[in-house]
Amino acid sequence: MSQLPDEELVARCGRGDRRAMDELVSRYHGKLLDFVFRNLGDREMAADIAQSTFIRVFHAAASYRAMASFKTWLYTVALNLVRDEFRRRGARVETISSDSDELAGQEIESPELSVLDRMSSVEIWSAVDKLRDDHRSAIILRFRQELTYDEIAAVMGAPTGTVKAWVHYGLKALRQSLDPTDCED
Amino acid sequence: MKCKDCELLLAAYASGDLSEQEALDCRTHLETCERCRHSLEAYSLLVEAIASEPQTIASSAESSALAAALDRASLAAKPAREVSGQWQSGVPAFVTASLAVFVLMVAALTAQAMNLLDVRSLVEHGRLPVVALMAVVIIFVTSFVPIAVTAKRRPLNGMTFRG
Repeated sequence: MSQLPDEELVARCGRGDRRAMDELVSRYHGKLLDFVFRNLGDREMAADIAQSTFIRVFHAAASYRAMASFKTWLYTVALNLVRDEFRRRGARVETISSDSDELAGQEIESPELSVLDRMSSVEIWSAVDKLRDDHRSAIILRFRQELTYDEIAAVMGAPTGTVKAWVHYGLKALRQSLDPTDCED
Repeated sequence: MKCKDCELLLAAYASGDLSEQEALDCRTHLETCERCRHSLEAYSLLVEAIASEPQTIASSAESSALAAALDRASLAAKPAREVSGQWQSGVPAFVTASLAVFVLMVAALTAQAMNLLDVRSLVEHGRLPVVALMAVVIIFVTSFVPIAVTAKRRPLNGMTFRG
């Protein structure tokens, strides 16, 4: 079972094979939890959404057509639930944006001792949490889940070029947020 | 390449996501621009920090809750039972029905051999409709029951799956 590709396992799920579903769960539960948790910052909510994602996938497995990879489909389902949660919570109160001009004109510090070097992961993830939702999701899918830009585009329903821009502006915003003195523009 | 153009590519350069040509252009610019090299270092640190954070691991409670939820979901969905090999063709259902018919016929023949059921005397005593009815019932049972039992099975989802 562990040797089978995801798509074969989904096909077996469609025939009611719980062992196939268990195998998919063992492959993706942790990743899915991480993806949702990094997006929402709420472990309990992440567990609920991961659970809902797998149940939806299980119910829809019979009608699954391998137009896209299973992984892409799984993250699409999860992201839709995450977006529902974003909407439920309403607009995020505090966001940082890469096009803020409050940092313009500041001098560059010496590269010898970058503030980023000394950042704790808590500070970094706190800054990630304040990114725009699509920027944060794109960054997490690229660097945490290691999806390609094309896969992220499929998951997020956006052109690949747009996803690249989201990742770029997201990282830029992070850099500005974490080390305002280190940005030249 | 100007700093402004290079800056747009640095994040992708840091994560190795540029095309060969874009990476070459970027590298050429970086060799002569300390400012962009510094930016690259910052992006590399960020990417590494984000990627290297330990992966979230499902707790045993979360795993158990998910397994229970999937159990409930599979019971609610009542999916087709797990099948493989000959089960997929519906053969056992057919065989079972055929065996039942076979047993019925053997019982009828045995009854006739033991004079419990005498077809000849039935015909001789003018009860031809009863014999005809028995023949029809046997033909019906042997022909349609196995087909009906097999056809009643739900179509397997996997048969429509395209990998």
